[in-house]
Amino acid sequence: MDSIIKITNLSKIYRVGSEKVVALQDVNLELKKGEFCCFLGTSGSGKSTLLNVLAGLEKPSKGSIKIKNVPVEKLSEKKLAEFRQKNIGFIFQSYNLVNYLNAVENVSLPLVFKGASKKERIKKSIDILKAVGLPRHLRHKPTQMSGGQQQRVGIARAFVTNPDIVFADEPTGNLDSKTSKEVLDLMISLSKENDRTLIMVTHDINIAKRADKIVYILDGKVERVEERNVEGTYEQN
Amino acid sequence: MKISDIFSMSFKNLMRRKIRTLLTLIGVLIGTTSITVMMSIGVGMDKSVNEQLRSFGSLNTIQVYGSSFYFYSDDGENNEKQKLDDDAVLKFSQIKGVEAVSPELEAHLRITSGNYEAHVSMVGIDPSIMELFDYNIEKGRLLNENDDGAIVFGSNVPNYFYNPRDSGEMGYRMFMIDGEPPVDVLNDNLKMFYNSYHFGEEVGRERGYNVYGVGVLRQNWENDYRAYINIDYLKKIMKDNDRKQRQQAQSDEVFSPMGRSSNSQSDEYSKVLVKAKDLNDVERIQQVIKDMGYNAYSLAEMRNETNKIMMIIQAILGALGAISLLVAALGITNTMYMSIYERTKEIGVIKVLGCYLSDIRKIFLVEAALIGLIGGVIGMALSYIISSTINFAASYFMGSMDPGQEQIKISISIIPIWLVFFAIGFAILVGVVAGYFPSRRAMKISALEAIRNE
Repeated sequence: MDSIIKITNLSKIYRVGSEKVVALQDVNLELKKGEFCCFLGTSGSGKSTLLNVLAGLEKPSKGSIKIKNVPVEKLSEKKLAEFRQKNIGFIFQSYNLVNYLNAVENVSLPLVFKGASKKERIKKSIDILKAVGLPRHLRHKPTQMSGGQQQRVGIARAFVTNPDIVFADEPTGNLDSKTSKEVLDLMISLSKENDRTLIMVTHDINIAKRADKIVYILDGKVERVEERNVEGTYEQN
Repeated sequence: MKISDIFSMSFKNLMRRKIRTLLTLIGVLIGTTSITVMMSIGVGMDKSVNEQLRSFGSLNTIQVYGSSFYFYSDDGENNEKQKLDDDAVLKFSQIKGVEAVSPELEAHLRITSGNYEAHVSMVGIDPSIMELFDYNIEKGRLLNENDDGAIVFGSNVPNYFYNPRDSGEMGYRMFMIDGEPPVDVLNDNLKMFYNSYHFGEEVGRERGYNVYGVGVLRQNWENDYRAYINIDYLKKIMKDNDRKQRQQAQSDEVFSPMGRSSNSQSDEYSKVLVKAKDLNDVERIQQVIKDMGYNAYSLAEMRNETNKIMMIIQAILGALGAISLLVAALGITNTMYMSIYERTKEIGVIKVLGCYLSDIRKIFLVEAALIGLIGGVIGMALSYIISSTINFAASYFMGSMDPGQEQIKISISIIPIWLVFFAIGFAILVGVVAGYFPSRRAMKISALEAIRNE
């Protein structure tokens, strides 16, 4: 499989007053197209920082990130926005739907930013909302839906632009275990169907066990990387 | 993002917090209304002053008189008296921007009809340009070319006729405007005498000229007390008179300096009217004529003086309104900052979803501009209501003060169409300016805000 993300010597250092806090230190990682990858670690391990830097939400202090051979850290704000529109979907822990917009309007937001026509937007949004199992909640506002339903809308919003890479930041963190499983199944099937790369941050080993690749992160460093083999067990490489 | 999407997003945001939007709107509304009403009063005053000036005569006209004193040019040479003759008329007509030049000759003549007579200030004028110089006819017609002996009377002149045998009446007649004049100037037979006062005792022997009235002018401050006649005809009469005077002087062997001086002046006009094509040229043309050494007067000069005062009044009134709009602008800024503060997370999310920074800025600028626009439009409606209320009240109270005229319409406050567009445009501009810094703040919100969990 082709490499889609290549991280070399990545470091992120925060300055808090006069003190330096090292969030990421010398991370080297390569992710393949169509892969489901989990960043596993405890809170404060730096897994979320890694995701944010990958998604271009934060600039790295050192090192480089190439997504589809584009050095993300060097892009201007405008190019970055364009890059996100084309290539990236994002799923949040607390769903982050816009409260005054209904499901269809929320899902069509990324298409609105792209400048798509209203007709196209609505068609694509309805299609994907049906695909995530919410055909009867098209006109519902977020406050009229359960957590699981809201996250389904969030997933629909992330996948509606057909991105190559979908980032998910603890997507099941606010859900009960049954709903968590359903949501996880949905994300995996949507990304596998179209050979999309799914990168998820979690602290839950049971969720991580569903991934093709588990990246263990500890104190800002990649501790080890395990890949699932054909038997379903993981081996370190 | 498409512009329509930016507008619909901004509008939705405004509608989300109706009360806050409404309160901000009221601020803008009061601001635009006070600016508009204040300025409308300025415009109304300006217009009424201009109308008053216009009733004094045409604003485009410059009155030129010969210099009564010797003219000293700047270089100290060439000290000569400027004569108001045909050369001068030609020179005036060649000044850029001059539409027409009308030389006038004035003579004091006596007109009789039956037992009645009147002493009239008779102005010789070129009949072809009467209309151009805004002589408006009330009854009959203006002068035609070649109608020698035809007279157009100023509106007050027919009241001058009196019977010299009823001593003392003359003084009263002039003020008895309401009563019918004893002579119908348009239909009765008239005779005109060249009436130099030192010739008075010989009047009875004079034959006089047969003249007839053709029209009466509409009331106008400038020409109410004059009568108008073809200038060539008047020149002829004056020459006749000169000759007679000289004969008289010779036969009486009396040295008459008056006769001689009037002879030497017969090629000079008493006054020349110069009409400018454009009102804005009047001052320049007037200056050119003054530089030639003539005395020149115009109402435009007076108008410019009043304009300056009016501009100051308008500026003060406008500034009063502007202050309230400034306060409204602060209201918009405050509202926008609060709204952005509340929506920090949402702005972070739309950034993560790929919204351009420029679009984020546009959303907030449009939001602020919409507050300005809506406030401006409602403010205009309110201004019209207030304006017509002011005018109604003014007509009601001031109209009843003057019992002679019944319910005249007084417009103290006038809202011209340009003021409508100006006020709405200004309100939008204020909105955009007020929204500028908040929108920059929105742009700078980090995408990481979306991740932060509270």
